[in-house]
Amino acid sequence: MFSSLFKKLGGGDDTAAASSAPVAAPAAVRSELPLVKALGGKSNIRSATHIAYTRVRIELINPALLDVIALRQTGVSGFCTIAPGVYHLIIGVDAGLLAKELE
Amino acid sequence: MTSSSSQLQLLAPISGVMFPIEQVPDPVFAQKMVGDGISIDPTSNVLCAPLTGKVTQLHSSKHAVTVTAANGVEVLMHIGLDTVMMKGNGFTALVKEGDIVDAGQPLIEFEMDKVAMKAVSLLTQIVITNGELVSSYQPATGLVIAGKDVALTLTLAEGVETVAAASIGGEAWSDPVRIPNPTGLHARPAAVLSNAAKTYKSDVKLVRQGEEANAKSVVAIMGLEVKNGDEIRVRAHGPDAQDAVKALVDLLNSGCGEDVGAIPVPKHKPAPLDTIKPAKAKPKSDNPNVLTGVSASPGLAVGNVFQIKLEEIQVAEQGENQQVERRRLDEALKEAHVELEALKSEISDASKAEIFAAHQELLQDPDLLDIAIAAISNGKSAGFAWREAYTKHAELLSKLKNEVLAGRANDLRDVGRRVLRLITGTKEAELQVPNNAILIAEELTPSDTASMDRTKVLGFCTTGGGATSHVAILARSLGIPAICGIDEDVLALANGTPVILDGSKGTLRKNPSDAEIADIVERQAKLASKRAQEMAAAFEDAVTKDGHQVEVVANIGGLEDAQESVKLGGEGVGLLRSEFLYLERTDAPTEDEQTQIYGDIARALGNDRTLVVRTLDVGGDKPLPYLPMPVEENPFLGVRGVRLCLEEPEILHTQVRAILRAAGDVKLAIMFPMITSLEEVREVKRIVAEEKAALGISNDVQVGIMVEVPATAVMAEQFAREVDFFSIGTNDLTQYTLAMDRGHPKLAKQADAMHPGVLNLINMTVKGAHAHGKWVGVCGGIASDPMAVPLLLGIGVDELSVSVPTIPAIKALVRTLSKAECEKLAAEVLQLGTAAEVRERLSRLID
Repeated sequence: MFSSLFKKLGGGDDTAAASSAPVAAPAAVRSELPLVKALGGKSNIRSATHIAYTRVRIELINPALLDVIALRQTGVSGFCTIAPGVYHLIIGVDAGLLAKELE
Repeated sequence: MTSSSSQLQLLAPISGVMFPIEQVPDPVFAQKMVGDGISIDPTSNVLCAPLTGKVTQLHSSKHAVTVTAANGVEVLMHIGLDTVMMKGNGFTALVKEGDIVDAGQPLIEFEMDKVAMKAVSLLTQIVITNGELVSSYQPATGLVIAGKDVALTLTLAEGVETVAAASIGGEAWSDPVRIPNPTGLHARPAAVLSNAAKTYKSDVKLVRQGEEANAKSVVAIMGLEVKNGDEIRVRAHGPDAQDAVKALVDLLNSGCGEDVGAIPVPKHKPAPLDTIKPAKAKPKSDNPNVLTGVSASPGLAVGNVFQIKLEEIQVAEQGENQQVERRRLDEALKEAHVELEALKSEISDASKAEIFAAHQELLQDPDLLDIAIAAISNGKSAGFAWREAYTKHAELLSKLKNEVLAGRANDLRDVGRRVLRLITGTKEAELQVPNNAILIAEELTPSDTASMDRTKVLGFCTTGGGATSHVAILARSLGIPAICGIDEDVLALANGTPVILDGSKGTLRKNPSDAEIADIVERQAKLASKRAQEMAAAFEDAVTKDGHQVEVVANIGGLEDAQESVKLGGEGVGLLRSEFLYLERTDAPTEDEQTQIYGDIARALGNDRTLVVRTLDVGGDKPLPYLPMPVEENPFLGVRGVRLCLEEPEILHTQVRAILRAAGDVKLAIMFPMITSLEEVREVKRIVAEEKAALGISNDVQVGIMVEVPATAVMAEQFAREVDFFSIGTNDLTQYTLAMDRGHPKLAKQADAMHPGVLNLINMTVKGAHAHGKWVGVCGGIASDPMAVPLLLGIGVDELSVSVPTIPAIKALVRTLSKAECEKLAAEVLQLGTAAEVRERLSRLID
């Protein structure tokens, strides 16, 4: 049930097991990506770390720029607010790839 | 969470995103080595129970827990992967192994960020470890919300049941039961429940979300402070666990039927005490000679201080050997029981004897005994152990918010001391009370006062207690003044100190001057002789100087009041408040029950007196468990009085039938409260006529109405065409006319029946009634107020229904008046503008 956030960038996929839910090919990560916009722009992202296998831990410089509704609309499965400016985005098995793109 | 015949639904234990378990990066779960199930990527950080069951395992690192369902299905929940490495850091357990938990109940809380950054993953697996009980798994997909969405549906293997009253190996527990009792599990239902629980061999407990109480202990049940609407589960362990659970669940559901149980139910409940106000904050007095407290019983007394101190009973801490101490305790308990039995038989009043029956109950409380026995096993003496036990429990009880339950703490201390005296062989200090004694103490218990010479005591003062304490009740029944919650300095007064005790004001004046004492003694003598004169003439009619007779009857709340009123010269009953039959029970009184009581009252009054029964007058402010009443924003402006009875006609028909059957030879009248329309009048008249015909009664039965709302007073003439009489309830009339809550802290003083607005409505009522030859009585507070009586007479009121103790005085007052003069007075007063002016004018008359 993972919505398409980004294309699998060729090879090197560490999840070997066959998935029961097919994952659609992700779109290329660019600044104009709705996800990045929802986070308030690339410059607003202080850090993006891949943690806990399925998550990207985001730290934003200005939390007020976060648009939660837009964020949910990009298809992020789950979203947790840890503290103002600190969030977990539940992405799924491709979380690591997204984190790299957002750094 | 319901399950159909062979399915079991698991609620999501945590909110989050469903994740295919086969993709979990840990072969133990992905390859279902531990069991099959689901995985959730959490968006919430509290793991909750997915179903109702028992916590059969809780890992010491608090990252994994197993809940076993009633039918044996074991649900293992494992938060994250490799989280065991964290050794509990970041995890908080909210339950322990062995707890029974409800679906949705929180089990473990964890710090999301900390764990996410340290562990391999937060993915939380929910798997069935005994999969042989399951034939198929249907996981949910997408997002789930903890405690709300079903995350996994199991189809159970053949032969696996879903049981309602769960039981596993000698252990049984029930689903949550909602407590129906309006005041929760107070002393009576607690006693009923514990008596039932004691008949089973198993250990039985009452459980409420984490708290437990021994169901065989009244004190423990009361300590749980179960309120109306609370959800309680019954849990038992032992050979007859399932039976115990079922029986107690049935009892709880039925409200622990107050008729069942060992404690005797007094036949006639006491009338509501409307003369004593609830305890207010104690004002400290400025005058060093005056000590203040709460008025507990009205009146004035001049006497000498006599201090009652509870002597400290000495106990050795170390016991001899355990058997000896055990025997000492057992024998003392037996002897105490015998003493209490003797006390019970000495006291003729059933409700007072009940106190000692309650003491006997307390002596059999298993929790109390357990603590004492445990202490003895630890080498303590019987006295020390017992004192530990009852003082601990009394402290627990006295901390409870419910005043009535907290009052039981004193009962416990009282009977505890009795046993302690027996253990130590201390003689009960004989209360040698001198003459004219004003008893001072911290607390006075029923045991203290049971053997006291009542003729020597003129009043009580205690530093503890309040308007509902034993001392207050005793003082009122003896007709002597009392103060509770008085300044502690009172305990320092020397025996013999002369004092003036003003029970009505709540003051104790020490060292009064001789002149002051003489003045009071003279006043008391005058009062006493006045009372004696009034009493001597009490059985004569109340006829004014110019030959007009006024009927003086009583407001009563039960049989005792009726009998008392006859002794004081009452000419009948102008208001029988029938609520005492309906309150504090879980089912409506039966027709036979009511017929019996109305009949007893009618017989107490006899042939020439009238009995006016007011039908049930309750509303949303005092809900009855068997009369469903929706919550109202304004219960005093809502469905109450006759409105409620017309909505529940069964209750009204039953009451009317019972009244008619009981009438006998007394002159009977039925009165309906809170009447506001002629439609209501016609309906109640129809009901009375119907029941009269059905019972074949040909006697005359008057049908009247309470006048409590302005509309009825204003339209008195129209109402007078269709009813036989009016009775004006001036307390409520004042409330509704001035739109003031008479209990309002700020407005209560202004809610005055002497307000010309109210007085003129009374006048309209009388004029309207007399226009059609119907009589009017007044049953509200002003009928008993000597200041108002001339005015009421002048307006033309035919009957005064007064509080029982004032009957002789009111009759005597009428005899001093002239109707003609009262009429002039009334004409004058009705023109005045304010309540203050009215009071001023009327007070001139008294002088």
